[in-house]
Amino acid sequence: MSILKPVGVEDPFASLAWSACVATLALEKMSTRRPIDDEERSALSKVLDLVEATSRAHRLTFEELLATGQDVTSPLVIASFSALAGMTRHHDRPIELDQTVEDLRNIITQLGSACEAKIDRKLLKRAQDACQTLLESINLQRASPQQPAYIES
Amino acid sequence: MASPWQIECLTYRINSLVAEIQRVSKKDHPYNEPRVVYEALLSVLDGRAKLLKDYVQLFQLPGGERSLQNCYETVARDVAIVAEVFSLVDRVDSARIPFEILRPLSWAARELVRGKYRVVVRLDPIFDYTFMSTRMVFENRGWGADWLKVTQKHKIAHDVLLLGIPSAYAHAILLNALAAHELGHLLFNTQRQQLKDIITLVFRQVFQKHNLKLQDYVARRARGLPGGLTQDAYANESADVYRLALSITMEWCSELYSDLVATRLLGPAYIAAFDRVLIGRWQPTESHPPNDLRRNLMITYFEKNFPQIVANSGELWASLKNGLSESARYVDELWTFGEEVCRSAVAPFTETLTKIVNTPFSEPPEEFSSLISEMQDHIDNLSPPSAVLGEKSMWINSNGFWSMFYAAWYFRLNRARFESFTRRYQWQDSPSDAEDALSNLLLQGLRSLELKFRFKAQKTGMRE
Repeated sequence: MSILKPVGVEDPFASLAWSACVATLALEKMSTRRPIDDEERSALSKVLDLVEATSRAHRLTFEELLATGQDVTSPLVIASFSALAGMTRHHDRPIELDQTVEDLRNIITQLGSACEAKIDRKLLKRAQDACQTLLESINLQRASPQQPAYIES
Repeated sequence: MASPWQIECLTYRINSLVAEIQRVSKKDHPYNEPRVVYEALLSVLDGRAKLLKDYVQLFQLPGGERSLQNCYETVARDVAIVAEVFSLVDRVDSARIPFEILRPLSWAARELVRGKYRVVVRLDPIFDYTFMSTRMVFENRGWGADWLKVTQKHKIAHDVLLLGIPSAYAHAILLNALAAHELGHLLFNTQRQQLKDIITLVFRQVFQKHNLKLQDYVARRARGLPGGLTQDAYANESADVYRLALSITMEWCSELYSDLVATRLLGPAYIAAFDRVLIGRWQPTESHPPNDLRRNLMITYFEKNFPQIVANSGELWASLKNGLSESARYVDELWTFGEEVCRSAVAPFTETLTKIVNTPFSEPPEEFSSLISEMQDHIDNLSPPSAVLGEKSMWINSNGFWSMFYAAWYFRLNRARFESFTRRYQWQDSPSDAEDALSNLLLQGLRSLELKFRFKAQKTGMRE
């Protein structure tokens, strides 16, 4: 930290963008029946967390969200609003958040089990598309952080 | 879609940055820590290069364009961040760096935050003072695994703190009073779980109070968009405004908490160092509250919690309070919101800090005044202020460390005394030489105190 301004690139989305990128690769590997490593598994879980948080932010009003006892200090909550704004602003057809949560959960549950090799390719493709939309939204927010104008009376 | 040429350019950039980091890594360094940071950055770049290669291999066929483009954007952005972080740990071998300050600062960090730290210092080209935990720099950017891998390989159990001193103030040891604020950020991060409840509660209360005004604010922003106020525009703007409100709350609370830690450790000495760097009225930003508000809150906090020190400090306190101005009134609703969050967080933060941060100001006022007075007498005679502490073993600790900063700044801000000092040693033509001498005495004092502490710890078998 610094005494007067952020040092270097303060990029709260760097970690999430990386996870979405790795998760996309993992889903592609799975659809071509290649093995995935621990980092790729972990990336899928991180993307699921973000999509779940974004889904909550989308479904509830902000007041309702606060009433649920949401931890407002969590970087994930802040990122979820950013992802939501990015998605609705930059995409004509934003992803179906609840469907994506279900898809990713389904995939993660089957990982490492006997069913792993039989995961439906359509399911993988749909999850991959959702990851791409999410990644595009995050990258757009990374490129141009919004700063409100300051006017002193 | 990212063309093969663009991918080639990105690959070239990664390779060039790798070569540059390797080149700097091979230079002689006074300590090993920079090399560890370089190696961790190389590990991050290696991960990006491999991912890019995998993407090119898997998504080169028609239909893979979107994925390849997204990967290209992500990796390009990450590489830019690596270059920026590298700049924070480059040129750490300048002969102008006062390396002697590093050990005492590492010790002060350990005493305050209860972690293991080593400080690495570089000269910053702009007038800023920075202090960052490398572990957090890596974790916040999603590179935590790279940092862990490299530190485990080198069997390093401590965090590396990256200190940036303004190049023009390299010799100004007095300015390192600002380290107290930056160490406050470290403490904030280690206390994050406990502080979460306080911040959430403050946010809820302020949000409820400002809810209608924020809704108006969202509508005003949406109305300003090309399509005007539509349902979609309102939804987009409200998501943005909530993100900003949350983000400002976290960032400003972190700054406020760190200011209060520094004020608790150093009082007016911190405000004086703060004034040296933050010259002019800075506008608020998403990351930092405005200067005036910070100054007002620090002064109010100190006067309320340490009235006896204020009463005893006379001219020192008065000279700093003269610069106190009214808080600005903002048209932008989010700044007003942020200000109220800060004002509401002072009381609960104060309560927490009273429990976890020792302060020299809680010692008996007469004893503290006498200590500071003796230290200043030593300075007047070009003797390091630590000489006083040799006879007072109860001050051979972090309270002694911060007291020396206080004494040095007290001496500096006492106009009559400092001018007399300047005349006595014939620095009238160049008063900055007098301040350099003061800085040197402080530096010798801090080094001596740290050695005394280690000696005492070894002798008594206490934890170092």
